[in-house]
Amino acid sequence: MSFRARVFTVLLGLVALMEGATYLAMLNVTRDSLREQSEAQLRVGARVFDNLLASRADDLRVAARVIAADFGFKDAATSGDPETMRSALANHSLRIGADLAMLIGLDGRIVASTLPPEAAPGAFPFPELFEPATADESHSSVVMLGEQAVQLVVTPLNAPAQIAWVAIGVAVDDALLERFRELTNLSISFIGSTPEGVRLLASSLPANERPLPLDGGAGLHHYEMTELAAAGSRYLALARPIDESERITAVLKISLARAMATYAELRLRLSIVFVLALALAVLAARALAATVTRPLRRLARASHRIARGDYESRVEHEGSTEIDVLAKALNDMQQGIRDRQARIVYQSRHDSLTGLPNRAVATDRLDIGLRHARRKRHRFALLMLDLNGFKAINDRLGHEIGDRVLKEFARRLASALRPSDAVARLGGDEFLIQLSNAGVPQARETAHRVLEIGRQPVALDEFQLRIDLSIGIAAYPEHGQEREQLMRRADIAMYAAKDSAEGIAVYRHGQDEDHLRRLATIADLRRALDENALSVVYQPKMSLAACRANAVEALVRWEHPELGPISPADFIPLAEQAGLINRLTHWMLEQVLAQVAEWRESGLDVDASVNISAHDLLDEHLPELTGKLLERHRLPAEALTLEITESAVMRDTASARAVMERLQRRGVRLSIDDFGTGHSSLAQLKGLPVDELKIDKSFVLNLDEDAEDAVIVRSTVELAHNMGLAVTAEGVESETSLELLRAYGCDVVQGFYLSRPLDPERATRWLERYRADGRDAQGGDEGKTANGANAAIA
Amino acid sequence: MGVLPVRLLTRSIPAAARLCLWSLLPATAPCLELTLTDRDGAPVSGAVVTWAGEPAPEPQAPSVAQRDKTFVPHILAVRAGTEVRFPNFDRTRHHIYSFSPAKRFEVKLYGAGEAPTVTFDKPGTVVLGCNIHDWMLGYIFVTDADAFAVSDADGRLRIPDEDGGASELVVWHPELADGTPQPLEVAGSGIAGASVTPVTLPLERRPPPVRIRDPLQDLFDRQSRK
Repeated sequence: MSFRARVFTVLLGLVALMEGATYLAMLNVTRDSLREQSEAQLRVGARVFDNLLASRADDLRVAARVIAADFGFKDAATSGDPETMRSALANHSLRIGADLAMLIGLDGRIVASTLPPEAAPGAFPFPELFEPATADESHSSVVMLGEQAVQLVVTPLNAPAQIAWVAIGVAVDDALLERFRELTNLSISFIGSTPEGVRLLASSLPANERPLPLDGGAGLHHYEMTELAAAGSRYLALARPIDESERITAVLKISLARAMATYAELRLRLSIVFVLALALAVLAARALAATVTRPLRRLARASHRIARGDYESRVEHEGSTEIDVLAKALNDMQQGIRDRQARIVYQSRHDSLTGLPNRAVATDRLDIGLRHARRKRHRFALLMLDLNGFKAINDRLGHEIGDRVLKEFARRLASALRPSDAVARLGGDEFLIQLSNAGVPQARETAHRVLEIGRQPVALDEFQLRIDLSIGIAAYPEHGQEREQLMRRADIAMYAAKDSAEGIAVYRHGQDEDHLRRLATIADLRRALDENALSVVYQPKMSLAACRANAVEALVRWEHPELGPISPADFIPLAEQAGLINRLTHWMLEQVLAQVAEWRESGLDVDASVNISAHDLLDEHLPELTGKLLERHRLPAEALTLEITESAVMRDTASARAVMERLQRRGVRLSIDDFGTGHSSLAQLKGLPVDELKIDKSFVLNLDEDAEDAVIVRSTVELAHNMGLAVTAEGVESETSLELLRAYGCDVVQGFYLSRPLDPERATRWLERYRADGRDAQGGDEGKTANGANAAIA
Repeated sequence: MGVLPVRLLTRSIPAAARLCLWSLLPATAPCLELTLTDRDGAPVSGAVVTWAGEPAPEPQAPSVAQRDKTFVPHILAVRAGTEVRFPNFDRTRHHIYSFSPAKRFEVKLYGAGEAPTVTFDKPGTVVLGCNIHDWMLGYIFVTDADAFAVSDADGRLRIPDEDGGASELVVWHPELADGTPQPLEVAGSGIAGASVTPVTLPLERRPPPVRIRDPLQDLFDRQSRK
């Protein structure tokens, strides 16, 4: 059942219950009250009647005593003459209005009486009266004489001793009872019971009602009130014995109809009132139920609205009823949800550190921008920003400083842009600016502004910091039409910007493809490393002094399954970018040292040199690994030379030096490769723990033709020797060059004139052939063959 | 009329007592002394015993006085034909009467000092009353027997006892058998000399009529009793 219906039912039920209870209670009480009134009336009437009879009896007694004391009466009574006696009796009873008088002898026989002779009994019928009459000087009683009830008094006749009894009687007749009824409003009947049956002696009832007491008389209990129903009316009757022998019963009756008439009227009125009240209650209950449920429904609807996500529309309430309290609470809750919702949304869309919109927002905005631009045929540009060297800042100065830098930068950034430009922090130190309605020129302009912002120092506690930025620009529609595409190309442009002088680069067509290809290649390279699909080739080196080939340079070769051979010049940088170079180097070292061990076992006393990159110099585990490998293959450390390009060495001199020193301590030889092409200074060179310099092939290739190269080479050799370093020249391709190098004093030569790089098998055979005699190695098969094949291997 | 059962205790009376009583009698006349008591042992006064035989001495000038509104004596015995005086010694008048069949008479309102006389010629019981004072009650026992005696206040009564002495004893008392004379049997003793015979009479005592001291008080009492 609905709440409303329940409230209604409960209210109505309560009212009906109360009404019903009241109704019944009132009627019951009234009926009982009326009945009690009738009963009281009956009882009072009975007492009144008793009083009436008693008072008459008293009068009669007094009168009887007076008669009995009368001398003349005594005289007549003792005359012995019946007639005299009778007339004396009659005379005196007449005087007092008695209906009968008797003179009774002491033997109990009636001597004379006023009754007709035929009616006069011989013996006094009520001898039980004698004794109390003696005791009290007179005694009265109501007796049944023939068909009548008589109030009889017996008194002794003393002359002077008692000689007889005198009995005087007054009839209790209808008239008397009628007088009583007038007095009390009760009907009274005297009923006598004889051996023959029950007889009505006297009654105040009218003749047509006479039989009634008799009908009800049977079964009436003395002193009890009984309800009678007779002739359509209801009566209350009280039956009481009048005489001591209880042969005569007085039945008092009162009609209940009159009393109940009042009751009936009351009941009718009450019924009307209660029906009206009930009707009113129905209406009131309905109204009340509604006033309770209506606001509740309203609140329920409001709750549903909130659940659906409507946090705006409030529930109106006034006043301070409980419903209003609930409405207010609901509103507060709605407010709370809305605020939390807003906060959650904000947090999901903004970067917590800088307060700028986050990547998600940036992508959304880009989508919107694209749609808008497509529709309106507008242009827009993306600027991808990166803070150069931010990782270093975090590492060296701590993350707290780094965060402050970012925050400051973000703040400045926001202030430098137009309102229609959108800034977002993509994460880390990357930011994205979306310029609406702008092309590449405006983008460049903005980029410059931003760079300028970065260049203004950021004050941090004790020092100041300048931020270097790389900004990549990609524009719609020329650089891309899709979101992913544009973002990626801006990213590529940014990486290109890192290498440029001004720090700004605009995406160039093809970079993306290059980039993608590079990514693919990196993946392939990783796989190749995993699958051991790389290979090592060895290019022999000859010692000019010993005229003997006693060393090789190990070079990595990669045959891509689809692209074919990929030059190390291409994939080494990729490996470095992809962080694979360390693995590559390790792998190389393993391969090479195993090979060298094999050679030495078969009697070929060969050293090997392996190229390592700047990243390897930053690898702190390199010395240890190298040592382990050497140990495993039971090779002396000097058998291994590590070649590092000049520019690589110069990049991070301090850390590089540390690693190099550790390697050198183990006995590994270090060589600076491609010497002359880097940006080193002699001062830097001086301190490095290297053993050898390798002159870059660019100087050696045309040595026999280029005088400048000759000068450089010669002076480099001298310089190196003066610094205590050995010199190797690579790129020897003619005998002339070789002789020149020998003349200059170069220690070791390497080049196609000797041999091109050989796979392990061919290398083994070459070394075996030419180990003894280096001279024969010159212009050998491999060398000549290599010459021709020079162009092929590139 | 039944014969009275009498108990004789002749031999239990001490000789001394007998001698005493004996001395009271005239020397020539042996007597029988009776002591009459009721069932409770109280002496019965006013009981009249009549017998055939030598006439007993009778009181002269029998009278029933009215003294203090009471008949004195309460019971008088006279031979039939005797005149009885009724002297009034009270200050109030009296109206004496009797409705007894033996003598119906009344003397209306005679005052102090007056002494009307009435002759009672028929034997029988005459009940005396006063019309003014309802409680006044007296008895006159009129007898035609040879001799009679009345018991005194102690219930004593002397009857001559010799050959040809008292016989046909009859006792009467108003409270005995409703005033009907009853034969009295006294067993003769062969002993010459006096004997005191206690006789118990089965009387039905009646309370004396209530005497009214103060009429007004009486009226008040009656009223309040109602």
